[in-house]
Amino acid sequence: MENKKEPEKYTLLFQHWKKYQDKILLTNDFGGKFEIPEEEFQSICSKNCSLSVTDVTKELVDKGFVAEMIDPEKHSLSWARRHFSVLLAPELHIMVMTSRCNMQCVYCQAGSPGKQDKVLDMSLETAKKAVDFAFNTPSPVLNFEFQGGEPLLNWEVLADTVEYIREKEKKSARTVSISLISNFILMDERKADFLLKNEIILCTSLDGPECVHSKNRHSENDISYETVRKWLKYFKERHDNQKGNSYRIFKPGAIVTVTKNSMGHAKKIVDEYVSAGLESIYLRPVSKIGYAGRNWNAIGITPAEYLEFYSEALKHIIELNKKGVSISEQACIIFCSKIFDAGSGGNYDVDSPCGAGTGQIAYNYDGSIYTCDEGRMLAMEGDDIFRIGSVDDPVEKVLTADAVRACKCASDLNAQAMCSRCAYMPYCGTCPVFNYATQGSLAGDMPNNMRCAVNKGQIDFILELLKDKENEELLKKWL
Amino acid sequence: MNKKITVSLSENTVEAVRYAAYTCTDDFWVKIQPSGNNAVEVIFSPRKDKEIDQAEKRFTEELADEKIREKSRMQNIATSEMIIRNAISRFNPSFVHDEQPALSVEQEQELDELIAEVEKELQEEMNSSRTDDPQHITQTWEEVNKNGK
Repeated sequence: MENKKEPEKYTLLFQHWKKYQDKILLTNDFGGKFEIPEEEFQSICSKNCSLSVTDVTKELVDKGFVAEMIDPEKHSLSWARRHFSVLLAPELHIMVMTSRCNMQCVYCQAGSPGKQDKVLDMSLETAKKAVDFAFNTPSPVLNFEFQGGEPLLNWEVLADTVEYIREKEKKSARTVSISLISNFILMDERKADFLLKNEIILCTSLDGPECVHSKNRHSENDISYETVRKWLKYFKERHDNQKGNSYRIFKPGAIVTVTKNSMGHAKKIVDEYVSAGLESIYLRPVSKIGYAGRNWNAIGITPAEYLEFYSEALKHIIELNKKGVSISEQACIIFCSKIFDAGSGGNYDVDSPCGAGTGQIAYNYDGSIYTCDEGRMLAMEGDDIFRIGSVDDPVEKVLTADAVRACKCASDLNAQAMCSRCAYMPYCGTCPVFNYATQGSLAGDMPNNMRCAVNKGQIDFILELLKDKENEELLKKWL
Repeated sequence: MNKKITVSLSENTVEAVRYAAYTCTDDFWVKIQPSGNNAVEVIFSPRKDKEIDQAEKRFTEELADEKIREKSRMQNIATSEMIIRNAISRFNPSFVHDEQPALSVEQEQELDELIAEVEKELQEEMNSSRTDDPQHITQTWEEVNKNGK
């Protein structure tokens, strides 16, 4: 039997590092993470990155840090898992049923007009063309997401489109899911029943206790908070009592937009989610896009303010978990998925390249197609740069449009001057639409980019938490 | 107040200087210009309320890091690219193409009409233009040789 020949030399394979307290944190594109004393690191670097035999530990080899002992199969799979969006056809198909809205939120990115003008509604003909377009893309999984404006303002078309999707699904080999993002103000028992019977996943916005929520989300007669709580309770009860149903009822979900109004309320916001029976919270800082940008003085926050808020909220969530309360935080899940090599985390904004046009596309009410929802929102502000075609165009033409290719190049962190040098590159991603809207370039200016500062701060904090074994076990359970 | 640092290009690449300078642009405005004698001048002016004295220390540290990055990149680029090529070629997700949708009612009707038209033409041809076939060229081999000849 032939003996496997040992390599004649060993080289430390690393792309990124960061000084981390008295150590150096090394990371690589395969998700490997390793801490090494600074002196040792400098010594290895001074010897052209060569390692002595005694330096080569099983951990270093397993994590892909020894060039001569790379396992191409394992590490390629790991790379593919964390860059899946570049290999995909769109799974997420966002349908803007109307641009009208019956609320006036202080941070609206979509620049929604009032609720009167019905020319801003998607027609059934356009909706069916959008669905046909989605079924003509080759992804084996199709997730339809109805949005707005407020999609319930165009209820008849929405309901007919749901039935059309379910009919097409029967003749197709795809796995199909449908979700609805709504403020619930126009929800009633008839609509709720239809949505649940069609297995629609329901999601809303809940920004915290009434004193925070109502400051952010303005509605006629100030009924938003009360309405959201009422329908979350209703949908949760229907979920909990679904035994004997012939259809599946999913747990309702909600997301938080953190603004200046949220400052000082981190724990109360988390507690609000727990009291509403929600088991997941997604904390996201307000983006300086659309109306939010124009209203920035009143609602804007700095990365430092957000990170203080986030760390207080996440610590509180972990404490609650330790007391047996089941609640997880979505941004933490996204980063931990990558840190623990458990996939891309399912958020196209935090992928490299991002999922614009490959992971997701957005159909505006008039049949125009955009790289993503953020691109569509920017169009509502009068800038059509992320438009990639229309529902009447061939799929191949739309999915290979210039804007899709530009987004791929701009969001590939390997091509970003600063990101390609950052130790957190394997866990991170950038959004060309955000960069363009806030800094005037698709690639952005990372030393002065708010999301870059927020992402780095969040990863710093999560890595700090992971030093505690109990925290590590707990966060792994969320994945 | 500005801070000017001269960097030798015999010890550093201009790319390393540029990257190191770029990372400092959160706190400083930075200008890089040629300085004769195979060198460049890197000129810092403070953004916000940063002390200009911090510029040199930070830039020097970033430049040292950048030199290590260049070395490690040279060592590792081939292996990294091999892994990525392997990933892209081997782990493509499976794509689905649903069967083409059935013909529309109008298309089916049009097709039926075309078939009927062709059948009619064939029938007419059979009835009207049949001629004698002394050489049996319209018959198959089996028909001509039915007695096994």
